[in-house]
Amino acid sequence: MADTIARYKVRKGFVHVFIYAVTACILFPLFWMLMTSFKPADEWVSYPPTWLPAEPTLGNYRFIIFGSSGAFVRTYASALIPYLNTVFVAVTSTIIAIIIGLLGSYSLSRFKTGGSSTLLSIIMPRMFPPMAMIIPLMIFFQLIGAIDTYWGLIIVYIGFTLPYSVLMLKGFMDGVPNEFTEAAMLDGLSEWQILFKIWLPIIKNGLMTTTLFLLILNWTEYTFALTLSSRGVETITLTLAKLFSNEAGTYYGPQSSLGILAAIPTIIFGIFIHKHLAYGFTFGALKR
Amino acid sequence: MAKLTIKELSKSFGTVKCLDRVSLEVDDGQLAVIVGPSGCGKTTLMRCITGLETFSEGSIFIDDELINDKEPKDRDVAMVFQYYALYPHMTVRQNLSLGLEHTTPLSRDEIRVRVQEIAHILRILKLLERKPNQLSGGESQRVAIGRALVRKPKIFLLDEPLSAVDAKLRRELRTEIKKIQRRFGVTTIYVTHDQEEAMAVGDILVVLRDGIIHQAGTPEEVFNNPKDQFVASFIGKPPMNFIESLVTGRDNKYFLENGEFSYEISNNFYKRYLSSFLGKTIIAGIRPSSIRIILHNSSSHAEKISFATVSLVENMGNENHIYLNMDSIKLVIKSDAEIVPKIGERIKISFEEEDVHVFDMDSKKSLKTYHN
Repeated sequence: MADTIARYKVRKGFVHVFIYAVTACILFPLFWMLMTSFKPADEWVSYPPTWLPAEPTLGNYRFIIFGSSGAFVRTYASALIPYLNTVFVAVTSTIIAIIIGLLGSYSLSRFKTGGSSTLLSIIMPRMFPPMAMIIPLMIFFQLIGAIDTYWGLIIVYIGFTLPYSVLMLKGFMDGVPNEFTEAAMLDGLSEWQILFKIWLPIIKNGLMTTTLFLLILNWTEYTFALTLSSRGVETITLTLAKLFSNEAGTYYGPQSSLGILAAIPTIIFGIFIHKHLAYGFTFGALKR
Repeated sequence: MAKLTIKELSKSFGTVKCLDRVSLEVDDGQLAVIVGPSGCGKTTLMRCITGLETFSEGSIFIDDELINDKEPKDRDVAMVFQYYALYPHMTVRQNLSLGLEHTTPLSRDEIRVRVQEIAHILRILKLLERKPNQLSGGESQRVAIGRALVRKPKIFLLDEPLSAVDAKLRRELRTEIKKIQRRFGVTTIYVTHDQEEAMAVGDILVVLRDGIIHQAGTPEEVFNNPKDQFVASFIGKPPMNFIESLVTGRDNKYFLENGEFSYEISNNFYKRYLSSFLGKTIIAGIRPSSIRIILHNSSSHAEKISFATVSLVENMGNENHIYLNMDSIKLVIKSDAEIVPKIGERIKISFEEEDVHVFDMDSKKSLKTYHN
């Protein structure tokens, strides 16, 4: 008996160590980025590496926020506009994709619209690597004049995240027990009212999770931003890629500062909804 | 409060007929219990009444108004679901108010008053601001009942309301439900698979099996005069004993016989029920409560005594269930708790002729009900 308890404790110990190790691995790049954002240029890739900046500086942040002139070989504009572009494009496309996704998944979950293969046909095109779509999409966008426009980029983002939106939301909706719907039908609610007054509040957590997921996808998207709108709408991802020169190499410092600044909104959003996140991932049936 | 009439209702799922020409009348204010084994169609029947399920043939009338094509919300019916289905994100008050907001033109204040009234009657006033996950089983059920009755529906339906509840609470709650129903006087349909619950709660019982109504009547009728063997075996616990017996006659005396078992029946009994069955086998039925154990010292005059061997004794606290073997015939009888025979003991049993039920071997119908 004592032996079993001892073994249980050892096993628990291992689990704890494992969790800490994995967490450390995941958080390490973030930590390194944070440190680098305060390092002067000669510490970015110094050997031996410095864990904490020996001479902490806000120069990288100044670079990002105000731009630079002359200090480096090329002049860089402030990254403020790209930042705002990202916010606008990511948030708008996420919101629209969620709204359309809600309506679509309600239809699929509640009314089984289109039969059993509808969901598959929504997901399948998304399995296609987006890279393969670039050329035809670019040509089409050229034809309709969507290149270098906000709405062009937003539409692409919506198109590519909608399948995820529908798939995830439908999953959560399928978990709503029929009885709530039937009770609501007897209580006199219309189909719309059932969606907004009963289902939405019940899948609130799943909705938060899906929104965050879509937001992250849109926020970090690079390929389409590069090919379809790099001149008209510059996003953070594009700015990050531009932070290098053939002479000086990659500007790790400013990249890290921009990375930190870019991560802040999504982290804040995540903290805001973190209570719902855990629930959303482990959604169990609501009995009674 | 209203009268419910169902005429020849049929429903099929593909080739399976789950309801077969069901006809039923429930008077204003009555509590009708639809009882039957799992899968008999009782929940389907209930869902057809509410409109959550469609059916292929037949008609349903509430107060002589045909409601076949009406939406659930327009039928003025309210239901308590098996697992209550209280909206988890709303308080008890909101749960109770929602139906009124959407089916009645009542103002906010009027709704508030109604909710207070019903909460007072059901003793859930102090629960009004709680959420469903903060309620106990009994409390949840009262809230579910409140949600249904606050709308003052014409028909009140309950779908196995006590199946999610433990045995002790079940007794308390079924009494409460009966009292509530009496107080509101609302026409009620109650669905359960538990025959004891049905007997305790119902004004009329509707015994359903495989989509067909076998019998509908008061608990006394259904218990004392079962129309067929299924009803006889389903109602009553422990279930009725059945003995396949040959109807024999000699010297102007008639008997029911099976091996060593030989029971003399009066000429009256024979002539009324079994006259066309001489030489044929019928099923005799006798309830466990109708069989007496003859104790050694007490012996009466013309007792029709049979002998049987004890195989098992179940001590139920207030009574005992004694399992007996009589040759190949197995019987169970009820006795007072003091009588505890030993296993293997040979005892004397006796029962009255008037407690004997007889059923046709093929149709399983009661010969007492259908006698000419």
